[in-house]
Amino acid sequence: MNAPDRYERFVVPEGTKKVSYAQDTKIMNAGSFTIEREDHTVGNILRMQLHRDPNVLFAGYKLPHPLQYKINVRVHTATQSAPTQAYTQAINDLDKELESLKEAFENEKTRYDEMPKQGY
Amino acid sequence: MVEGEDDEELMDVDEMDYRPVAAAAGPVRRKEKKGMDFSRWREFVAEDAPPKRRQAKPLPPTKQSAQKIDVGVVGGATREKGLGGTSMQQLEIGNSKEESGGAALMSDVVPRNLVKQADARDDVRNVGGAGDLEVRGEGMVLDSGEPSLAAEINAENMARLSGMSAGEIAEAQAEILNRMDPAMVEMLKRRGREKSGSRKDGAKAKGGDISGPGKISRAMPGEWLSSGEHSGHSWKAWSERVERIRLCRFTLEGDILGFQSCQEQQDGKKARVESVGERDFLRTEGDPAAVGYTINEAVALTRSMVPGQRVLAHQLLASILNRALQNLHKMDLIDNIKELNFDDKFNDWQAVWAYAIGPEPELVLSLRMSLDDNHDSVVLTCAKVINIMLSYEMNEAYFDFSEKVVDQGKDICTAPVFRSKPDQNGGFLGGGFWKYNTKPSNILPHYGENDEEEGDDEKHTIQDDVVVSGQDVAAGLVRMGILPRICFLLEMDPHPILEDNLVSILVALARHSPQSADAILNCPRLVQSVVKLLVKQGSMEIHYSQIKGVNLLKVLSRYNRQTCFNFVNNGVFQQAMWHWYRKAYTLEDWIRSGKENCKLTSAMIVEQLRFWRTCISYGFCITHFTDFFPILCLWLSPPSFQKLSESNVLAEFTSIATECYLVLGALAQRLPLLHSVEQLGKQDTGVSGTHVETWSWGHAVPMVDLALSWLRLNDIPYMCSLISGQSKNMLEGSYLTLVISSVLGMLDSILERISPDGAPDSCLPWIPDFVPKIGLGVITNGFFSVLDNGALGEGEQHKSFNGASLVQALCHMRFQGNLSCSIDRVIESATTNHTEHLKESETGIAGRILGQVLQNIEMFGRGGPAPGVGFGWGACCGGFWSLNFLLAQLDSHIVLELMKILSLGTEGLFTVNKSMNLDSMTDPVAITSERVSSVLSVSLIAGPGQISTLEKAFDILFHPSILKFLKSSVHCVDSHMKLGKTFERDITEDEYLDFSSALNSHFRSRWLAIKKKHSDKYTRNNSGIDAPKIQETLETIQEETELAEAVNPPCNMLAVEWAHQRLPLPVHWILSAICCIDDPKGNLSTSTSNAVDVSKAGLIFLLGLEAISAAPCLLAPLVWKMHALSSSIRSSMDLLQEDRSRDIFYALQELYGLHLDKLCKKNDRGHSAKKEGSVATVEEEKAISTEVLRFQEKIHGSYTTFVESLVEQFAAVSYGDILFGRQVAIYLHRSVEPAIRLAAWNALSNAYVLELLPPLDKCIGGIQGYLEPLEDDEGILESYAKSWTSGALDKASQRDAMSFIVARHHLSGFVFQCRGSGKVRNKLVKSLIRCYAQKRHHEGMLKGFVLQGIAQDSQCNGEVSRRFEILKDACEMNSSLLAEIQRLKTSLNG
Repeated sequence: MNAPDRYERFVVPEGTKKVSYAQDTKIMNAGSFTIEREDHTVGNILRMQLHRDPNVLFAGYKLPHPLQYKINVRVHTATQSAPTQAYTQAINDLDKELESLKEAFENEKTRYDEMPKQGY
Repeated sequence: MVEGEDDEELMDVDEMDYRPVAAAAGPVRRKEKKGMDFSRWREFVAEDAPPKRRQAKPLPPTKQSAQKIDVGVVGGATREKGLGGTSMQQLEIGNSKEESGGAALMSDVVPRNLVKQADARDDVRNVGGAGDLEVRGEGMVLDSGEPSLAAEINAENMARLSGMSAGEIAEAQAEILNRMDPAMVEMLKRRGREKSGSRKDGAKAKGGDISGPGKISRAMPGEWLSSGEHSGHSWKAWSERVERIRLCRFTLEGDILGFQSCQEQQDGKKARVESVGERDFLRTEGDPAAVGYTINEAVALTRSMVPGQRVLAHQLLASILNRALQNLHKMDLIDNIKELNFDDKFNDWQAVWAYAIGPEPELVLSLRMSLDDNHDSVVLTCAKVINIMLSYEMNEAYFDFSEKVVDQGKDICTAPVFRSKPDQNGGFLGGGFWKYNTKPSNILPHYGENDEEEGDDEKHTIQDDVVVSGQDVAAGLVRMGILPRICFLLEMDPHPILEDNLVSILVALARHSPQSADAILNCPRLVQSVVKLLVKQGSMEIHYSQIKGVNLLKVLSRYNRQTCFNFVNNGVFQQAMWHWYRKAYTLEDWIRSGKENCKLTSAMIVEQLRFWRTCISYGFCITHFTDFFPILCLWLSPPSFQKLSESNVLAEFTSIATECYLVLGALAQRLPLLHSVEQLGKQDTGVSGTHVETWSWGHAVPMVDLALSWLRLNDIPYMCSLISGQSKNMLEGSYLTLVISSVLGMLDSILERISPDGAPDSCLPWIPDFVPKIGLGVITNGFFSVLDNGALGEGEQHKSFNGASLVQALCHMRFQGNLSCSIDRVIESATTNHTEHLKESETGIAGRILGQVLQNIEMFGRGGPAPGVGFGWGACCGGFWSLNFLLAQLDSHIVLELMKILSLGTEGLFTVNKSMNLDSMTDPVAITSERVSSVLSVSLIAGPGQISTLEKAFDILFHPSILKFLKSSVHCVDSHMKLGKTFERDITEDEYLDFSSALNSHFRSRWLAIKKKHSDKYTRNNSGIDAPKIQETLETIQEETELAEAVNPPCNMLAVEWAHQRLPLPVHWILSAICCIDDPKGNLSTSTSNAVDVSKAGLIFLLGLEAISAAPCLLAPLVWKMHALSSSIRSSMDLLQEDRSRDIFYALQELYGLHLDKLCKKNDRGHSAKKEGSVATVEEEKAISTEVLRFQEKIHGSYTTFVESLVEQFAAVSYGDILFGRQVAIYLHRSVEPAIRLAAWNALSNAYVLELLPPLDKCIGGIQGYLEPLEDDEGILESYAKSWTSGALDKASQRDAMSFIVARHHLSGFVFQCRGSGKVRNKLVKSLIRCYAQKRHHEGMLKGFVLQGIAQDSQCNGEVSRRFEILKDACEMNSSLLAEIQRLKTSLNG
């Protein structure tokens, strides 16, 4: 019927940024990130990573509507940090973590693959 | 056998009593043969059925043996037969045989017994058949052949027994006794004794209860309960009350005799199944009424084969229902609230009523069947029962009263309704549209196709009938074809009493709903035969059925203009009014005709006039005025009261006079506007030819003179005494007050036609000379002193009622009539004094009535305490249908009128202003707040059909000036309460205007909108089948526009339905503005931006109301207010982002915190007081003491989802906003029910936002509310522990959030202070210690856990070491955990 095309879920439309940031007008060190074309997969993991950051006072995300393919991440940090800083750090940390996870997985996989060759 | 002899004696006595009945029952036995044949035939036809049936009902082994033995007692010869029988009835008969066996020494006993047995058999078969129907109706497979089979075996046993000599019997008995266990014999004997003594019959009747209907009833409650499970506690209590009636026994007069205890069944006889026929049989021995009957038994008895018994059963039912109705009526509502003592078994008539016509449809089914009976007496009593069940008389009394009131206008349908359930989108805000208990389309399943397809039985099953009549008895009756049957009976030229009853059934059904009225109209020949009744007796004699027939016509025509039109066109109207075409008579003739005749004629004339008035308001039959005038004018002028009271017919005369003036008032409303059409000169009879006829001024003016003669109060004897405040002749006085109020009403509507409501006052070219006359008449006769009297006599209902309508009429007159300014001033001064008084009384009545009634009706869904039709739907005191309520509504009307006049006064005339100010100078704040609260209570009272009243109320309530006032009062309170932030932001004038319009439009669309009907259209148009269709629409188009303006448009319907609208408002209606923001689908038809505005305005308004503590606003339970605050922030944070509304939000939170603390304290006190008395059970106490905020029970069953979504919002977008946090934290308050607390905690924990909650001292309400009493719900404790170990509380402990404190407090309290349930405690401790072992940073938390509640001083070392002992115990010798404890101890000490 009038459901959006499926590609809309992951193709960022031209002219829009993947991530945009808006400072909150009332609270210091707080702001919301809008991440286009993402959903709970990224939202949840990002939030949990932000929660690990001791400087982060609040981190939450929301999927405004099932058919609006974007998430809003709200971050509030302590004075010694800033939302953007916490955000980038969280992303970097996640990158690293996933990288190491991938590495560990692949190592294990190669080990397993080589098992028959070694005659086990 | 001494005991045996005792039995004999008892039995002998019974026999004596029994004999006459047996003789009476004799003739029927012959008919029985057929029944027997029939049952055999059935077995032949369905050959495989019997074995199946037997298999279907395997007997418990104990029973079987008991049965064998029992039969054995009688005689060994019949033993083998007994094996085949299954029903426990065997026992019964066995017992009586035992007796007979003993008594066989006297030779004549046996034959008598035989007769008895035969009778029993008759009954058995009969009831078996009935049970059969019932069972089929329920769609259950019950072994229907059983009773008759058993009866046959009995008969054989009996025959064998009679063939044996006494000696043989004794021999056989001895043989059996030898073989049997002595204990068993003892038991059987005891049972035999119990049974022969009819006083002890209780236990047995219970058995009967269980047998046939019992199976059904056991299935029903479940179904019934499931519909209302959401309301939990209260629903359960209610259903228990109703269920208890199952065991309730009534005397033949309908009084509750007692409840049969279940004790008698405890001793192994619980599972006994006994047939109803058996019980009937027993009941005819001895005093049949001694033990009383349960309702179920009575219903079963209506299917007896003996007509006399059927009649008796019907009479019994009638008296039970009647008693219930009477008592409901008598029940004083207010007292009832105070001492809501349901344990008082003997007065729970509400439950009786609910049970009788509530969840089990048997009563309706059997009544419907009985109406088909071929015995006239049975039909008659059955018709009586139906009448009582539809509570014809009570309802008529109500309508009768409401019709006497000027301007009351519309009838309300009596069909039972329920509120549609609230859903989350509306913020769970209750007060949805009303719906019919049963779908209107269900009343007549094959609408319009009735004639063609008779045999359309596939779709139409009995099951449907059962369902429908379970929901709504009247609908069930119509559905089961009561109408054709009534029609048939009417055509058979029935007995006058029956005729009377039949017509009143029709009236009651017509009142039910538009659909059933349609059904009556569409039933072939039904209306015609009623009309035939009206003219059947050409003589002067008037029958009650004729009066009711006219009433029926009136009720029918009120539903629909078209119907009325058909009546008029088909000459029905003329036939109904034929008395009016006779030669005029004088008053003396009338009086001379005797008291009885006067009564009849007055009742008849009143009904006829009402019918005529209905036609007039539709715009028909106005020209008949000239025809009827000769008789009419008899009643129009004040009579010589001497003569009337001598022959004691004053009441009759005044009721006619009242009605006449009401008719004239209705006629006056059909006058053309005086100044738009110059008609005074024209003497002809209105504009004929169109369907909107008009009355002519030429006729109206003389009437005014007649009316004025009534205004000379001093000439009317009883009025004088009324005015001077004497209390004698109160009744007569009230009759006359009614007349005068109707006279005033007529004058009012005439004045209105001179200067219509909306028109500007000043520009009338001229006024006819009778206007000043009216004014003078009103003033000189001292009406305003009457006002005071009216108010004084409040205690007396009638009087105050009349006073109310009188004042109302006066107010109308003042408002609409173009009287001179001086009158204005008089009225002002009279009314200002009066207003305060009225407001007081008003508020009182309103508040009290509403408190209960609303909750009662709305708390439950379909089938709640208001099942079925009936007076007030079975609510106590009639609920909305009580005269009390009518009075309150009238009062509310006056208050509004006065309010309007006063506000006009303040704004307009300066002179009046002065007098106003005299009062208001003293305390303007008090007066305004008084005004607001009285308008609020008025708004709560308005019932369906009073939408315009409410609109007026809203206009007053949301006037910018009121808002401004509220705002200023908030200031005062703010400084008073020291809320910290003062609410100092100013609101501009424009904003006030915006707010006022936003609120007004919101509340109008939210509450006053009427649901559109879709499917109804078709049926409504169809309603005129039996009349030639005339294209009415065309006619109306042709009308000249000018004329349409000049004449009041005729109404299309004079009846109002409860369904499809939302009134009366729920108590918390004012909160809807705040909740409105939480309505994503926008089904309130407000755009989102608008919704924010409305919510803001709503917050201000609410705070203002709280500030002036307007009573009805405070009536709304705290739960609702809390919930409203939550739901206002659930889907968007807009409210909290704007500074002003944020402040208001905070203020409200603080305020409600105070309320909460107060409530908790009060409950604690009540709790402790209760403890001393120790009345309530433990569970009840718990519920009462702790849970003030029972969201799940009070608001919605699935409240947990609401909490979850609120927490989700909190976690996603709040930035840990403190106000939001407070609002969420309230769900962890100890006074919230455990399920909600658990859900809130889990949601918070899963979202890792426990640390975002504010510190404990910043939460709503006092700290203690969150901590005390200690948590005892294991689920919540485990949840706390889980959050603790999973690290969700880590940050909370660092940030000092309330979540950590609460968790620590309750866990520590549970481990160290509570006794019992060591298992859970050990588990909790172990998991905490284990967690401590893994996470070093938990040391501080765990220290706090151990030291919780211990003062820091060192003197408590003993307590600390005790606690460590407990910890060690809990570890159950696990060495690693013990090591951890040791580590903790050292770190604590070091």
